[in-house]
Amino acid sequence: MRPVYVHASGSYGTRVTEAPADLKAALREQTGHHIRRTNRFIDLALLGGHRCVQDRDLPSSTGIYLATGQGDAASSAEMVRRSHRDGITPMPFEFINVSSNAAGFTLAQSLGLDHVNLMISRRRWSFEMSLQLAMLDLAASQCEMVLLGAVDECAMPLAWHRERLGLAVETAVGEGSHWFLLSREPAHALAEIHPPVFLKDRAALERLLAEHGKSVSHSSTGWNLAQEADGDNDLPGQQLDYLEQAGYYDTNVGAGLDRFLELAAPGDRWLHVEAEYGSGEQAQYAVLEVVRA
Amino acid sequence: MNAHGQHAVMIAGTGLSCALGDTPADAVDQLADGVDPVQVPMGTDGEHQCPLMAWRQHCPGQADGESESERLNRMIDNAVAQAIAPLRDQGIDLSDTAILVGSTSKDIGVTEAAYRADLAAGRLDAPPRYDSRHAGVLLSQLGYGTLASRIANRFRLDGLHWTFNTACASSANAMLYATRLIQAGVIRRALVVGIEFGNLLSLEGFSSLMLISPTTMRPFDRDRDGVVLGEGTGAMLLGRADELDPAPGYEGMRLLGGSTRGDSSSVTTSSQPGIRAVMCEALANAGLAPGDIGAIKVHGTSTPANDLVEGRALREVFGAGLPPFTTLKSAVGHTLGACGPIETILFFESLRRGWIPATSGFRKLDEDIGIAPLDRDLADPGGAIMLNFFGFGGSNTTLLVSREGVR
Repeated sequence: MRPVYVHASGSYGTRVTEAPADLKAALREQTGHHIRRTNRFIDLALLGGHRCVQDRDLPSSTGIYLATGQGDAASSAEMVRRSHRDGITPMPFEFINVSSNAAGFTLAQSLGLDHVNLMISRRRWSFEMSLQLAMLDLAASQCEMVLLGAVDECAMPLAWHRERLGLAVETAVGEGSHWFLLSREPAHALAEIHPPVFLKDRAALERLLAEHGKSVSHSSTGWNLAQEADGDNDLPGQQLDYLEQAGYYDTNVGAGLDRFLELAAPGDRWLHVEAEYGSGEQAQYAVLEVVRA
Repeated sequence: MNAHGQHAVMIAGTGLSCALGDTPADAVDQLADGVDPVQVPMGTDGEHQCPLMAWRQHCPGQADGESESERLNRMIDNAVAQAIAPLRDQGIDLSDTAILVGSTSKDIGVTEAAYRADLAAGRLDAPPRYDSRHAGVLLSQLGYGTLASRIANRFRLDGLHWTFNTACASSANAMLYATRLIQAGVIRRALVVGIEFGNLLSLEGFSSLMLISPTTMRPFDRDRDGVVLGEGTGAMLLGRADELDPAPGYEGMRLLGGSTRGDSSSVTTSSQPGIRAVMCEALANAGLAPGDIGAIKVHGTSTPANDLVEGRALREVFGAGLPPFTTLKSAVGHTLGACGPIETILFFESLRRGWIPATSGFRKLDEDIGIAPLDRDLADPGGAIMLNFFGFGGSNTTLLVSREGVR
């Protein structure tokens, strides 16, 4: 697969220390419409998506690829709790809101899109995995443009949220919705994204770093890799730490890409490396490479 | 490789665990004997019971003392083990096999059971939690990639994995993207797994939308009145045709891909133009014409609205040349996000035996639709196969399969 190009980005992201913000007002300001009967996960997706698209006219063959780790965890957990503890059945719109890709649907509807619309998930790497599918479809001309989003919500109470995610009690958590408009067209692009590389072990990562490290101006470790004692050893260039500001959420790599686009000078090259653990507890690595135009 | 430089994709193994049986062969034995449509059970008073009871009547059995997580894992392990067995038995290293999972509810049913236990024990403020004895992951009920990770660990498959959440087209999209990834040479093999496990949240949600039949499923029938939910797991091992032997009976069968398109007209009901568009785009992507299609497995939910628009879209695309079509939901229940591999395997296993199964429960033509599914089994007419899957959120997917040597 060939690189693709970022033509716009837009985000909402914040650390969460108490009840998360109501997004309806921000959404109304962004879109000019009062969006009713949506849950916060959908609102998050809409807010980031519209901040990315602004008032652009998108081609009808623009696909939506929404990456998430936890999806609509907050609403789903609340509905399970209410149903089993209180005997309250979900309202139709509440159920629809947690039906898989309702966030992507609502974003597509608000943008007038009727093309590819996927929600892809896994704990870490969902952004990288979604990017790979988006690149596949762009390369095959299934889509002229792609809206690629990284969306995760902070569910309350935070103690349960951290427990659900397996995080230590002192871990700073956050939420975010980071969207990037991609195409195969390099003209007027903000940045170039290379196909993500997935590596089987640390030795393969070190080989890649030895080959490409000199050209890298900035690098970042994802959350898992940052937890390892020697996680960021050998990463080349200036360290671009986005984790401290973003807090933990599964798709916070989107915040990292935002930060690079914001800080980088033309020609700067960012490497993002995140670890995952395969069947043998051995770390595998996903490498994202972005060049600022 | 095909004319576009893509690798040809074939089916190397299949596995199934569903209401009709715990292997593809057992399930199709049931179909061959003729099955009544899934239905809400009768009470002793001769009245249909609460529709929310129906799902549990059509689940794979629960062994004595088995927890919900054990039952879910057994269902998944059974199907996956069957699908990978042909290649494992040949000594082929599958460690780099990718996994693509499709599911709507993931393991929420397991979490519900654990939460009910918490409530029964008086832990009223406990959060919903996962039964960690078996998965080792707390609160993973809402972690979408959990099931794929567990399959990877259980079967030592260290390839990439994706989990698709596109409602009832989830695992159909997993099949579509597995095919595209192999065709493009990004991966060599893929295990596609559709998983749906009974849970109260889905039942109550469908009920709140008035989509649950109070009686039985009658797809495309004038008297149809909704779905009866089912559960199960379907697994398919896909690979490059130039590298692997196909599963017995699947020789010459090639997954061509297809199309997936969003339809933002309604969150609950696909539109006729949306369904027409996805079928037309799938045909164009595969380089096929409507006349190349020998048979269609329609989505066929048995709801008044969905069957109407799907039927009308079929008439638009195929006109007078509409090939025979059928649906399997009334035989196995609507397995939601798992229906991609489950229905595909049931359909293909029937074709292997030389016939297409009738649509269980269909009796009377709906004049508004104007076309009828098969009301009796039909000898395989040959030609390519179209498979339709639609879901909430405007998720429409059509897959196409060619069959060399079958005319």
